[in-house]
Amino acid sequence: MQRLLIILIGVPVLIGATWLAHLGQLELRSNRPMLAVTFAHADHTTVSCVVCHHNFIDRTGPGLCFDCHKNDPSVNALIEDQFHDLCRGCHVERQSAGEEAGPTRRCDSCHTADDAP
Amino acid sequence: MPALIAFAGFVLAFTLAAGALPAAGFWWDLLAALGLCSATVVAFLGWDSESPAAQPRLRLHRNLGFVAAGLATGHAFGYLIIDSTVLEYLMPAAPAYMLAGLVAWVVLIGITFTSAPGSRKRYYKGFPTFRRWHRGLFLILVVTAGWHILGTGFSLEAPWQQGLAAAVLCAVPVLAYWHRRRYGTLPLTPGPPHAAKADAGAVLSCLTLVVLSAAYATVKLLVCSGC
Repeated sequence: MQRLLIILIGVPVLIGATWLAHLGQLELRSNRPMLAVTFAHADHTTVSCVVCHHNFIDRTGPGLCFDCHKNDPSVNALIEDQFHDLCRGCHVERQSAGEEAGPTRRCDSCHTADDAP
Repeated sequence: MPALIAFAGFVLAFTLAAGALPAAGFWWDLLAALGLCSATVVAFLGWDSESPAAQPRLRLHRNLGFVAAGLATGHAFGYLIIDSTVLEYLMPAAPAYMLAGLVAWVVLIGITFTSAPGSRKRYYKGFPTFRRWHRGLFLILVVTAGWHILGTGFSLEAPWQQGLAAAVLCAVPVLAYWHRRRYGTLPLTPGPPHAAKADAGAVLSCLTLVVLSAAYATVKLLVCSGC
């Protein structure tokens, strides 16, 4: 009986706490300052512009990447996943295909001050 | 010990099986392999500890726990040394799979250091209580470590690899439970210590796993050097 009570109370409390932690984490992700990141257009001339600059074709607005991806509260909690999928995903794909590619794993290879052209 | 080394070797080879995984540099891949070896030792101890063959090897079991904790600590702190940006992944806003890795490390350190004879008596009311907590913490450890390994996707990228690894991780506690049901529990007092043998076995296992990890990193570097 005691065990059943613990389960009946504990499980909803655990689910609720997890949900609250998730919401809190989204809030933290939205508000935390961005890490320094470097990007050299000169190294990406073989990639079509619209692969990254999707707003040229889907008309989601002018401006720089981070105008939306960092400042728009509806998407800014996803910034890490979106940019890692786009940048790192492409690098991994190219490296796996035996082509020259950018960083695939080390954080500080991309997360460094941007002084590239 | 040969079974543990063979198991670790199999796990490392298994991660290479999907083909040309990106090499990230010798040290990066070495540290990744150390983490995988730590998880392998934990999984191995999980099912081995409940078998009757483990009875005279409780000291080795405890020593291998320290080996797993050492490898995991090397894995985590090594990354912080070679790539300080990794610290961002230990902050509250980090992805859940990285926080799971942090929880796994804390639990592993806790489960190991509270199991040493002196501290065990201080932290637990008796051997049965210790055993209950030890099993519970082990389950948390398997879940969080598995979440970390599968979530990062750095070592197991192909869906079939992830599915198989998840199945193996689920099988670990089931196998341990089956062992216990079939053979009963271990005696309340540890069997003959074989201290020197157990200590030497653990040190040798640790060194072999580090060498195995270095070999893994070298293979990745060579296989993917043209990438």
